[in-house]
Amino acid sequence: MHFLNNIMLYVLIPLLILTVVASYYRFLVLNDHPVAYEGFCDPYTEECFVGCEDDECLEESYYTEVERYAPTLLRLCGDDISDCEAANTCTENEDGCSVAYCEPEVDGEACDTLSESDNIDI
Amino acid sequence: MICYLYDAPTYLFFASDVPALLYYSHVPATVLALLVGFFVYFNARHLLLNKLLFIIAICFSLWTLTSLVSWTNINADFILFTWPFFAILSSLIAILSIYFIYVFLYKKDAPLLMKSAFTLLLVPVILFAPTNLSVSGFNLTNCDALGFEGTPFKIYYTSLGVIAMVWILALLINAYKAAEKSFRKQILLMGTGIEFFLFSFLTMTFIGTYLVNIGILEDSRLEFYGLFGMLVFMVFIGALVVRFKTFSIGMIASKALMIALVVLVASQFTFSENSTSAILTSITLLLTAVAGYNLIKSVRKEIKQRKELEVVTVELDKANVRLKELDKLKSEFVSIASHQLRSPLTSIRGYASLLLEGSYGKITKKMTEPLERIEDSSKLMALAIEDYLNVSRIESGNMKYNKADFNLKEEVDRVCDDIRGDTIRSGLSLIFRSDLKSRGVINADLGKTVQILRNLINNSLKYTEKGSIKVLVRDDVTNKKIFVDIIDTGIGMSEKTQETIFEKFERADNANTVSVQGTGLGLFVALKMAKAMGGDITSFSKGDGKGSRFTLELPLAM
Repeated sequence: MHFLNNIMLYVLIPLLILTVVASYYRFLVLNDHPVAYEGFCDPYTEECFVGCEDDECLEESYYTEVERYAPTLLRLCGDDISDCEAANTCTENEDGCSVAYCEPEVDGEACDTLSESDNIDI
Repeated sequence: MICYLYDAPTYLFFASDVPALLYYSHVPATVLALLVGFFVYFNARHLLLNKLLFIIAICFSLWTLTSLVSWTNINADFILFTWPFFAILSSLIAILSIYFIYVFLYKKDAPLLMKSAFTLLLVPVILFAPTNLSVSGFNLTNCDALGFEGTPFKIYYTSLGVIAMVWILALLINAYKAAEKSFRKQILLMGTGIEFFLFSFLTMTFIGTYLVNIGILEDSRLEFYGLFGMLVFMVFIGALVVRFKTFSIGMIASKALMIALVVLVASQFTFSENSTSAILTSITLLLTAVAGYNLIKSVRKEIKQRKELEVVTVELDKANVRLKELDKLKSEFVSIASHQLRSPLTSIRGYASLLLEGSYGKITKKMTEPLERIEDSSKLMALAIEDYLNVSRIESGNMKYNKADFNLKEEVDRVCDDIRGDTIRSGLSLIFRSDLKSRGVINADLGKTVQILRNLINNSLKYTEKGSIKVLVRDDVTNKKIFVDIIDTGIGMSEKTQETIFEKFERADNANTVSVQGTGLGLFVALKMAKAMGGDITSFSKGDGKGSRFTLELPLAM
């Protein structure tokens, strides 16, 4: 009777504890999730996505869309991937890793390529 | 793994590259929700309603904390760990709101079926929150997981909010129809508050975020505005506590307003851009808090005094009612006692008179004096009893007046003729004069008027040792009044005596100088009768030993 009167407490609280533990284990212990980030792209030779460096868009940035599993990225680059060359490409036979280049037919104005006369610093 | 484009926050969630609106929307709403939640809970812990409000406040606070962390933290793993809590906490807020409203409306716990339904609705959210159905990845560039949220899962827990709003509306409408007028106002307040909160929270934080995610809207800060709905809800809760003592607790309005003001001033810290503005905000906050504290103290004192006054007033009312009852009982007692005394007294007077007349044979000279004293004393006693009876009738409202037209001047003349014999025996002269422009006709009770005249003239007779008593009848045709002045050369009255002479059982201070017996009720009865017939009796004396003038005033019948 006590269980039925407090059914919400008896069911939800254990489930909540389980969820917190599961979330902690999955994301903080195993890092069992993919991550997405912007990889290096050479606009002179590749089809790059184009974005803005700042809110005013005074400078453009060129990137690829990389997606890979977090444990692999951690192993290659550690916590901070900002100066990690290996982050820009997938290793051979790496599962769950993809580097996407811009496709003008699909992504339209998000893409950009440059010629030598554009003369920008990458 | 860190978000490489952002700087780490300080003190858990203070970052320079986030909009100030983030803190202004999150912090005051959370602080107020927690304050109200704690206040309500700790003032009546045993009540389910209070517990539910407290839990909702806690869930909301945890949600805003999670939101602050996700906006400011740069540790991807940590943000992902907290991400499932958005779904769990918002679902709990929605479902617990239904439970809360049910308990508020029906003053009892929800039935088992309803609680089972709540549990069933929440279980999928909690169970699948840490799985890929809820969130599957993280974007290190944007530092969020928005692009990796499972749409069906998101739609499900968002729909719990919609279900909550609809269910609550149905409960409110049903209860409103059956409720008494006083409770309907509470239903309106509570219903408006909670629906507004759920609508703004749901719309801005979820639907707005979804529309930004799919590119329809650009401003992702839209979700911030949704949190102000909690501020509105808490204001409504405050109004319910102050006006209706909902949650079985009370609070004076000034205290609630001061708390709200302090929270609002404190929230300015979230907009402080430099140390100068932070210092100024601190000073303002301190001054507001001190002024507020003093204001609440003085208001509390006034309320306490008013309550004490109310208690005293109630007691006074009760005492007044009791006094009136006692007075009525006293009048009834006097009436009954007087009637019971009158019968034997009539016998005594009657037999004394018969004995004096010789109806029972010749009596000796020696027996005459005692019999005359018996007759005089019983006559005086009969007059005293008549006075008591009159007072009793007047105070109980049973004095009857049979009004008819008669000539007052003629009646005054008749009374003077009747009393003249006693006056001469007392060694005084009784002079009657009239100065009338009208016929001197009044519409009054003849018997009562004669009684008043006899009373006034007999009083003058009792309190005058030597000299004369003048009776003057005059009129004022313009104002339609007729006056009877009884002027004597008696013991007079001091100013103090003149103020009280018409009250019950009052006699002149110097009455003992003439050894006069009396009940002290004659003038009281005479005045009451005169007033009942639309007239008045006034007195005047230049002082002790300087005679008196009593004036009977009555309206002319014209």
